[in-house]
Amino acid sequence: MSWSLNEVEVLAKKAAKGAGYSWGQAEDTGRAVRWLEARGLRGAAALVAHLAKNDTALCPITTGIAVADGVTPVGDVDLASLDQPMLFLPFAIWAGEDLSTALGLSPDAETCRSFTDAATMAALAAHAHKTYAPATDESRALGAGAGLTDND
Amino acid sequence: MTVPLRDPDVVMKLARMGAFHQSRLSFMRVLLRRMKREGWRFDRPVFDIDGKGVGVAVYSAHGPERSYSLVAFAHDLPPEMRSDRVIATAWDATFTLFDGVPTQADIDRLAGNVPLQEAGRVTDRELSVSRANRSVRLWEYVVGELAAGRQPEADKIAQVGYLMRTTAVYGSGKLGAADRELTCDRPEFKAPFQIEMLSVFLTRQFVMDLIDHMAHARAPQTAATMDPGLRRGFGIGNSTGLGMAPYLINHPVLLNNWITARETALARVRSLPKADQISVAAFKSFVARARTSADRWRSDHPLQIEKLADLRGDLKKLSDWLDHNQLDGDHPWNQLWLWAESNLGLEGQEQLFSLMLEPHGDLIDDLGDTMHAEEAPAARIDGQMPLETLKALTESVHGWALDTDWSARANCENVWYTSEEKLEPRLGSRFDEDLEAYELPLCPARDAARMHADLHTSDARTTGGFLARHPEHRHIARRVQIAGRFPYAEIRDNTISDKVLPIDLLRAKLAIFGATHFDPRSDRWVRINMFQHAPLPFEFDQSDADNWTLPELKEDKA
Repeated sequence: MSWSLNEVEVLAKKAAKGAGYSWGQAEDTGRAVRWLEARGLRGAAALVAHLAKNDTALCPITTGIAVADGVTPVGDVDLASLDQPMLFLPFAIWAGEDLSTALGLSPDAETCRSFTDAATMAALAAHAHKTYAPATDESRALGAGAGLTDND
Repeated sequence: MTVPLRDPDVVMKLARMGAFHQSRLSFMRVLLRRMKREGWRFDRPVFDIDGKGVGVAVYSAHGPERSYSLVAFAHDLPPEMRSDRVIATAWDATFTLFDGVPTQADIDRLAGNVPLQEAGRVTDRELSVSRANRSVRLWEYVVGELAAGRQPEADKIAQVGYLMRTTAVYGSGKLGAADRELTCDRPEFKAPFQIEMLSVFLTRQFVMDLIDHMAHARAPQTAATMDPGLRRGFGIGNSTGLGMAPYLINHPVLLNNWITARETALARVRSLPKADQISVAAFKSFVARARTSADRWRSDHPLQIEKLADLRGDLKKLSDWLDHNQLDGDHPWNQLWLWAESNLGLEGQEQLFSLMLEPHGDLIDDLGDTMHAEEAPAARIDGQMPLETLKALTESVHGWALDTDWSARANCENVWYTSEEKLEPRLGSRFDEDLEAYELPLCPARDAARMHADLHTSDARTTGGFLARHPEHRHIARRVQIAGRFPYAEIRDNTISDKVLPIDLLRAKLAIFGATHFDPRSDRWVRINMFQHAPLPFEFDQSDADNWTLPELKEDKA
């Protein structure tokens, strides 16, 4: 099965938000995952692996954002300490630093399709689920603004 | 004299956006003008539908370089399953727009997925997925009349205006369909939403063929075929709710480019030093046609009834003004516009906006090519931007919001959230429901005010330094930077107040699509009509492709 890049980006964004990043950080995470998937790199799987861990390794998202924003020079980043360094790559490139070789990655031909496996998408969906409000009787009745018949 | 574009603080208000009308730059009209200019051809390679109305049909559109096909699945839906809401699981008809002309193997694959809609999967050979339900009010009446050998009455047709209404038209990679990047380099799909509009345009032919087919199946001996003149009176309805409302907020650069094209068109017309008599005569005819359209426009919703009264009153004032003014002075269109700004309400002003563009296609139609957007590059945050600059931008874009008391209930009553049950955007009460933890970032004004408070106390020098300490402001900082470069990117209004009307957002978007006859069913969902009175695909080569959005005057017809 294959996915559109839009599907993967949207789900990655929500997953990052569900896992505790801010909306703004989550947006950049979604773009980073899309950037990787469009180059045949397994960005979605890298995000799932990163979100599953809760250790002291250097976060590729916050570090990546600091580099892309020009707050941290890329030379100051201890690449060896980065969790899922692949996720860091798009941010470095956006900062004008191509670290493909340093990170052992070769982003090449662009595609418009992601071949992420279903288990990875399911793992992202589980994180994304935390951003959805549980339904209540009140929200069922009012949230969508129905109430008038739509069947005429 | 070159008239400047209108101020974003004037244009980007919800009440004004909720008064937008379709125009020459609407996406339906951009599509039909292109297809006419390029001599597109249409045919129906497959129509395999049984007497109960179950089966498949394929409608192909052939352009100069490529072909596209609507694959339509017709179903026999029990009445109790018919619902326009996104929670529905079955429909009267389901569709996909296929990239090319499908083989039987393609159709077989699609037959296993398209009828399931959200529960199915399509591939990058498919460009859109959509579904439609019959208008119960009209469908049975029309089939019955045709089967009995009679034509349906024009008045009854006009009361509804469509035989089927779509309840969702998904594009841009939804449900596994092709991403926009895959097709946006094709000239025919450069303008936004051309895929979705083409799909609806072909759907209309399918619906008209299906109704004739059903009448003949019911009474092969007596059935009449629909009169082509009546056929034009059927558009494709659409029922749109909250799911679409956040779109304009989530696509600020695209919104900017849509509004910039519209405002540029208005400014070009206002800047004309003289009005030629042909344009003036055409304009007056369009004003008369708009009055007929407003008179025929029906709605039961109190908000819309009031707006229609405003619109009719404004159009009357406009007609009276035209009786005494010949548009023969200096910069006459600008004089008319300035008069309208001080004499007409929002409905009348925005209707006049569209009418002033009508006679000026040569001057403004090229702007249709400027309405797409490259969103990804614009979304990069400029971390080096000095904090003082970010602060000044925030004050310039969201000035009014900084003086608003965002803790007052009236100003923040609503929360936008995604429901677990339907995975669709919803609106709920911040104070009566437990929703705040799930709030979506759809209130730029409030978020800008929150960021502004922290900008004051921060000792960071750059935007990047500030955001490293305040990641919670990253979303709104990005928006403020975008709004600094794209003046119409931001809705400069309160999208969470106790008075917010989501239908204002829906109307702005749907008017830019080219929809007519807005008929709100609540403050949260609206019915519209698409392509009503437009030529159908099979008569397209003999028809005027761009003179259908307003009813013709009776004397013109003779």
